[in-house]
Amino acid sequence: MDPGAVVELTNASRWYGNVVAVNDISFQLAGGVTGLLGPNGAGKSTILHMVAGFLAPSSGSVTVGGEPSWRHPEMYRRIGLVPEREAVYPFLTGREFAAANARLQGMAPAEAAEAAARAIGLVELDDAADRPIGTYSKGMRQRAKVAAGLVHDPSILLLDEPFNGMDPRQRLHMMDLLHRMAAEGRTILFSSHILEEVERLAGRVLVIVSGRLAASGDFREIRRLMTDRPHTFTLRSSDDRALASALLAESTTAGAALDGGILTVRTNDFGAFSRAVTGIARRHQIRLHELLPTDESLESVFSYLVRR
Amino acid sequence: MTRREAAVAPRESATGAIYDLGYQGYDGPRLGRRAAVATLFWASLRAAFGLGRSGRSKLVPWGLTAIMLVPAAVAGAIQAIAPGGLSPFNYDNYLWDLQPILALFVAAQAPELVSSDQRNKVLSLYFSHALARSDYALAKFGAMAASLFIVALSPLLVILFASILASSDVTAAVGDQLGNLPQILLAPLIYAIPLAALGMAIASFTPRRAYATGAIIAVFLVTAAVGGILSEAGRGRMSQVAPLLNPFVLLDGTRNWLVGKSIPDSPVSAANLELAVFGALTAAFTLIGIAAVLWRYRRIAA
Amino acid sequence: MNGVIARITLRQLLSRRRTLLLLLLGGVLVLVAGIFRLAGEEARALPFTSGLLGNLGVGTLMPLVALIFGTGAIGAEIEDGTAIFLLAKPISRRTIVLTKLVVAAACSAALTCGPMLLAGLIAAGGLAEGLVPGMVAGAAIGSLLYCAVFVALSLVTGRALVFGLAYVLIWEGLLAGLFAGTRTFSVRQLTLAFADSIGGIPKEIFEAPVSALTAVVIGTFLLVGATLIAIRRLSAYEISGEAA
Repeated sequence: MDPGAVVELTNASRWYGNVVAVNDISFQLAGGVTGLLGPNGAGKSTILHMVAGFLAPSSGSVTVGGEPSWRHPEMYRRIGLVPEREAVYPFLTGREFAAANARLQGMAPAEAAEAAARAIGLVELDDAADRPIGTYSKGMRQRAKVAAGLVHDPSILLLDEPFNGMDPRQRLHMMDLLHRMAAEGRTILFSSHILEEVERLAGRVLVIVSGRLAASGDFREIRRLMTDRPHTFTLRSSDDRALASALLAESTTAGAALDGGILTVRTNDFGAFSRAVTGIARRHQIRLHELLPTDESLESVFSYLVRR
Repeated sequence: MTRREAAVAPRESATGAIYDLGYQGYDGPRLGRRAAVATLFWASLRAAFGLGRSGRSKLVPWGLTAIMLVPAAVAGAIQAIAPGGLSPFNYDNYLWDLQPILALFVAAQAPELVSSDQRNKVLSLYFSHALARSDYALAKFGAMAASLFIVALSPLLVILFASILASSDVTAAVGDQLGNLPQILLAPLIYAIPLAALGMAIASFTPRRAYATGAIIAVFLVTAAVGGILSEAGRGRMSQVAPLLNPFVLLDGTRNWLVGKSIPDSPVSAANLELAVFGALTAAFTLIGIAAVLWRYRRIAA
Repeated sequence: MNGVIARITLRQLLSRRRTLLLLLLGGVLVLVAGIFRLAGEEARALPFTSGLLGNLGVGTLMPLVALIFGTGAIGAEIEDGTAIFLLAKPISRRTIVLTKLVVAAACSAALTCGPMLLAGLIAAGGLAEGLVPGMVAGAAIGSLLYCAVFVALSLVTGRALVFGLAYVLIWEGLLAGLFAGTRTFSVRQLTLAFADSIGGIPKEIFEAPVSALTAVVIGTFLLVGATLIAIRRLSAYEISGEAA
């Protein structure tokens, strides 16, 4: 992996007068896909703009490849940026736009044309590549921006709400593309407020709430760390009611509910419970058919973190 | 005002539920078209001065109004300190001398009133109410004219108060000045209404504010310059007719005809034409301007 | 100077509608010259041409054209957000500003000097002892100066057009008429000074109130100063505000 593809925030903050948009955030990215997740207005775009060198941190540091991102145009050689705003030059065709971006990155005309063709192919924009961008649909414009962002083969890719306006098929394709690029050693940072996107794409999640970093890491791990909130399981067995009363006798069980034929059990100690439940079932001669954790989704993690 | 009860009672079943969120309809009397027009007028007038918006949008209109007032205020102050001297500004020449400010005001604010609505595509929202298309056009025009009237009137009021306060006998001064009241009130009107018509006519044809501003100023600058040059260098007939190209000359002529005296600076006196001609032409271009705006809003897709 | 930026800027500035409208504006100049030829007094050709090129040309056409191109060179991209594509590149901000300035100035000069030359030739029936070439050359320099000021303005404020207009109408128009001192800092007057010295125009026809030396000094100061301000502002360009 390119040693320059390291993004690091150290106690970075950004405020506008009395409003603190980003509050003392630190993290380091070196390869892989990282998702910035948070409610609207949480500070995701602000962080992305700081990493992209379009916003100076009010305190702390934001570095890319060891150098501060602010006022450092040279770093754009290894950064590809896909901004959120829709506007693009409407009179250029998709191909021309990608090629222009390549030329501006310093590529020679022939090289640029080739790179543009490759980028257009990667985002599957070949059919419309020779029409002016002004005639594109929203999803096509988005893909054109992505093509322009990766035309110079950057080792760092920054994407602000990249799946805006894409239909499910395009989205899957884009996720696939980003996975591949990350597997090649690139660092990819994207922001989203849509849980499914982040769940599916990001190996690592940075949850931003009100400008603060509320949690970071694999979201299943984060869930496991949330010990002040009971885990919930649904169970299907040969005798739910008997199982429920047996479980309630256990100290690891925080509560059990039998509701409309479904047994839901809450426990504070995930590890101990999962070890204990099979033993309990066997002792009471109950057959366990299914044991499902029900709140390990990113959604429950997220809603917990946001309300904290 | 009566409120209709929620038509849907809360319902529940095993797998779903419908909740009563307290949404209530409205069956009471509605204020109707007149109120809609009045509201639009007042809202637009406030928008012309940037009221109810961020500080930035106040800078241009208030800045221009301030510049409009400065010479009058300065002259008034000088008069108070050293009375007896002749002020270079009076009710006749002030609006002529400061015409660039009025031109700038209409060029900057007319697009704010009409071009923004087209840019943001909110016309369909307006037209889906009791407001007719012509109502919208006229309310906006009225607001522009009213704002210009305020900008043009304020310095004249400053001159009025300055001369009253600067004199030794205030009551006599008030009596003297009462005779000037028609001029003080009508001259700004004579300037405001046609300028608003012209500005609105141009601005309503484009959703882009910058184009509108540029176009309005271009019309003023070019007509003034062309009129000036042709009147200077032309023979006979042409030098008489050329000044009529400049809308401000027409406005000054109308003012001269109806309420005031002639000014040496203005081409009106040099033109040697019947003053009524100016009045007629002013009325003509005002009506054409208003007609253009009405036509534009009748045809625009919303 | 960056070729790609130059080409994109050129395509942005010379859109069909804009070019047509500005040509129309220039056409007015030619039209007026034509009217004079047909209906004006031959004897007054020189003073008329001087007034035509000085007032309508330098005083009206030049600032309007420069305003449109100067504020549009980078202002439009800043306003709609496409500037980010230009800025997220390893290109020095100085290069970006200079390229755009040169393109804007070239377009302004072309659409100002062309009509002025044509109108001058028609009205004066020839080069008129340096009056026409002097005015045209002066206008080229003036276009550059105006563009530098307006490009800087568009990086300083979102309402560059209105402030630029205020500068032209109030500072150069109203105030220059009242206070002679402001003339030194008026691009219009500097242009006339250049025209006077380049064309060697005889005093009876036209005399510029500002000396040529002053014009060169002030003009350079204005050009360099405005460009430096523009480069500084672009280097510190910040995108603020959370997306909704």
